[in-house]
Amino acid sequence: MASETSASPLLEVVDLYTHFDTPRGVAHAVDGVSFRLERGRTLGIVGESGSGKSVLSRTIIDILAKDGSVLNQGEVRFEGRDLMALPEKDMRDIRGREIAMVFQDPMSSLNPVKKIGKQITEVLVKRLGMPGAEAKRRAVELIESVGIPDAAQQLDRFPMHLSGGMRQRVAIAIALAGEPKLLIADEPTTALDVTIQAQILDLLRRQQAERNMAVILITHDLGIVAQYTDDVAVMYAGQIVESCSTEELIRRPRMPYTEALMNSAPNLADPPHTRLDAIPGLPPNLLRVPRGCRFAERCPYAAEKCSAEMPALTDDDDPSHIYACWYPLEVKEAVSA
Amino acid sequence: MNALNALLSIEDMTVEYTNQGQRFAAISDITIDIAEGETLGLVGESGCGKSTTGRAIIQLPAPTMGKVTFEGRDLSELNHEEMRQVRRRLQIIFQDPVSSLNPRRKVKDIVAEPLVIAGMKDAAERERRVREVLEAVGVDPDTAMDRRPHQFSGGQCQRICVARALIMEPKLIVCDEPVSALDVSVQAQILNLLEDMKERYGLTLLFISHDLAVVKNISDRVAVMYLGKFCELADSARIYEAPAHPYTAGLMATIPDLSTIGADAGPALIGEIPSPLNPPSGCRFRTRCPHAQERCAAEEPEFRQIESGHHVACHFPLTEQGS
Amino acid sequence: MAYLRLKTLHLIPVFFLVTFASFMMLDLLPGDTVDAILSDADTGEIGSMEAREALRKELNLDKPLIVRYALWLGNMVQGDLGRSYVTTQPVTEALVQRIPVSLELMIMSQILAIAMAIPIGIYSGYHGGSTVDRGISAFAFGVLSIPVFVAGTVYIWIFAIELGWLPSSGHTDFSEDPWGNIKGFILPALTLATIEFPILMRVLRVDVISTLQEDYIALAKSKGMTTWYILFHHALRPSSFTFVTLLGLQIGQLITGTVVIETLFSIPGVGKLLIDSVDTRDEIMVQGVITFIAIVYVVVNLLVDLLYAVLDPRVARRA
Repeated sequence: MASETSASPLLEVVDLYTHFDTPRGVAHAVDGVSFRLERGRTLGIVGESGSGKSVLSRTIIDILAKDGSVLNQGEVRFEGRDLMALPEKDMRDIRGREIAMVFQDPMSSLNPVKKIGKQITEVLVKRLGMPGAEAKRRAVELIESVGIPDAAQQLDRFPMHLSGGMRQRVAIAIALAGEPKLLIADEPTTALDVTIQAQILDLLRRQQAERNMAVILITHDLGIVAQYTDDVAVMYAGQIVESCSTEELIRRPRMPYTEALMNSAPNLADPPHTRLDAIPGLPPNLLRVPRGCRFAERCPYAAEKCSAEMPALTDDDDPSHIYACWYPLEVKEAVSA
Repeated sequence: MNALNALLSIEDMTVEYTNQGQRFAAISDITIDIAEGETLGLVGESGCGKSTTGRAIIQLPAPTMGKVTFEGRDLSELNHEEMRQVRRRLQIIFQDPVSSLNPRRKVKDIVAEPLVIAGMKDAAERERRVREVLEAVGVDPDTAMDRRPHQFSGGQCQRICVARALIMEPKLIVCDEPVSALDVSVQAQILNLLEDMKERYGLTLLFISHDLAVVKNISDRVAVMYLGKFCELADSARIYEAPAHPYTAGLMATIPDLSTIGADAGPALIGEIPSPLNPPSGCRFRTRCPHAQERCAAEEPEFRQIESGHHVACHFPLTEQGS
Repeated sequence: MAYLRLKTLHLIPVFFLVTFASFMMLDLLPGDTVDAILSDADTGEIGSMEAREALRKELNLDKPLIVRYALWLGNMVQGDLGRSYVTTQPVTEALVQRIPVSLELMIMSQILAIAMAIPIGIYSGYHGGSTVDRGISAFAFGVLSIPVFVAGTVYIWIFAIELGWLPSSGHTDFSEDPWGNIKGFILPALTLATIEFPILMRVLRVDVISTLQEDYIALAKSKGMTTWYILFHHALRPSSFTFVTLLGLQIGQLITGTVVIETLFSIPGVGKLLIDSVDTRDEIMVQGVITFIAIVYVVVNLLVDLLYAVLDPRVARRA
């Protein structure tokens, strides 16, 4: 990570745990995660369902249930302040203003019975203290800036009147309304078509550059990571198993899971009927996580030590590239292009 | 296109729906053959009519106009009982494996159900068949048969769906986005499984997906759909190497892959798919096409063959200038 | 508005069915109207044969049921519901006197029931599964099992007899003494609300719990909105469908409750009119009251259907 040396990054997550107390036991959804994010950078968090990436993002912005079923530990330092230790009232000031979020499914993340204008202006009025008329003007500007035509007319429409892509643009406008320093986008394009996906990711990238905003882009798609992020953290079963710059990860993956993830997705460049390197088995049950490496059971290189002892995140010579593996892959060019 | 050994032929098929009192065509006038033993991929954005096509083939619902011929018989002329017989040989697998399995029934009953419906009375024989087909799809029959769907992951549920489709020994399986709800690692397992099953049972597949990379991997030929019509059809290697329709090329360019680290070319396709209630005049893609000219608005391009086995509906196909 | 027209058309057969069915059931009641009218309460004499036949003819009671229904319907369309067999007061006049009283009672009780159900339902839903929620549920089920006259009697005992704050019965005209009028309605309305709010509260609670799982609630949280704002501005409206449906369906129960309550508190409303008319076998009056009740039921449910479209713009679009 380029600016590793700066004293206080925008966001620093230290040894974060989020466990869920369920009737069937404690689920280790996020299990000792640490990373840092500098201002204006994009961090990709990649993993499959159940890897803990969405729970991680909801822990950072602190919107998980408060009924005692969620057990947290660790620190989420935002501009030096530990958000985990903040009282709810102060944390509310952070949400929407300092950290905003875009969710996966724009069909369900906008309130179906509220006009689009209202869903944007409520941030401006309630959080920025803007007078109503000014908030409306600003909302029109925001709608324009996310590329929705006839911005002024959109204020009085309901989400049902818009396509999925347009709704996600509205969701981005809502997130941008509070001028956040950090935007968390949780699989923002998974529910959309590829052509719309490219438009939305492009919009995010442009807004980020304009506003010098940091972005956490959560995705299951390494292709998206490659094209749209600066740095990347690979999550598996609640833990970060590899983290480095995006280019480094694509060219020189060290953790076998990263490699497996790359190889299991079909590649357009391969001829038809190319056998895919599927990862056998399933991720471990988070209610009963194994003692050793959590990927060991599915790993083609696993040895005895792997299931006995959990590997810690280490690096070789480059401290910006860390991975958790007893028998890391040899450094090689994984992608010839 | 009119192969002699066509297992399934679709001729001038149109499916119409009514939305808010307005009648519109979800697919209009499509014609295609699927040869015995091939895998035909059908790709396009949501709303392009690809799923409607898959369902119209199995007559759920039957097409509004046109003809579907399967093993030489016109499906629209069959009565209820005859159609029931044909359905055994014409199966479908859906996108969401978990919700397409009855949560209250045991796996062995779910998989055996088509046999029961077909009137197989011998319970021991049914069980033998269920075991065989579960083993074939990689599910351990001893542990799985007495469980219910919610005890399985999405990938395992999709295996069970495949088993249920296979037990009647069908000729053709319509796979409607079978891997879209699955994680990449599991997606690869199911794609490999479908390839294996195709080999083992001599299947013909119609594989519907929005993911061009997946479709290219599993298909022999690929048809690209846009707003209810075909815009391109070719061998899957060919369509990737030399896409002739600007939409195909655009689709391909929008897929982020590992070779394009940090590339910032902007989106390859602007705009969104227009409403089928009010399709554009002329070429349906022209509103988003970077190469659109006056003729494209005035005249609808014919779906024509530009090279052996390569069809395209475009006045100005890309390969004619390129190669 | 096509949606409104369609809904109204649906309600017409409902109206006919209810009025005809009540006509038929009144006819099936044991006893004879003519006897009831002509008999002397003190002596038990039932009058001469001639007088009885004359009255029977006058009231059209010698004609078949279907003819009488048709005659009644014809008059009703012109706004004439007939005259009371007993007092000869026009039925419409009696209704016009009584309706405002009953409506005031019903509306007040609904306002009270809603005012209790919404905050408690939302609170209970927000804290779903907590000790407080479980306590509220237990309390609600307890209240639900209390018959309306028991609840009314308990309130009278506490607020009228022990504390002496409110009158235990009687009715004052609003034009004479507005405050006295409202005071007289508080206990009856509270009694009706008490038996109605637990179910309303429970269905709202369930819907709030599921609405709070929605992504748009997570988005509202991530915007930094306060819990109070999220509950009332984001969660309440999408959670109120079953609630509103139930409000319409409970009209039947409300009317039954009104009949009991008006009798218990001696309030001269439509319910009391119904009971008195049944006592004297004043069939034409009973029929008039039932017609009114049917109209209320139908209109309220029409309003509920319209309210769906207001609550969720998607409903109007689908129709």
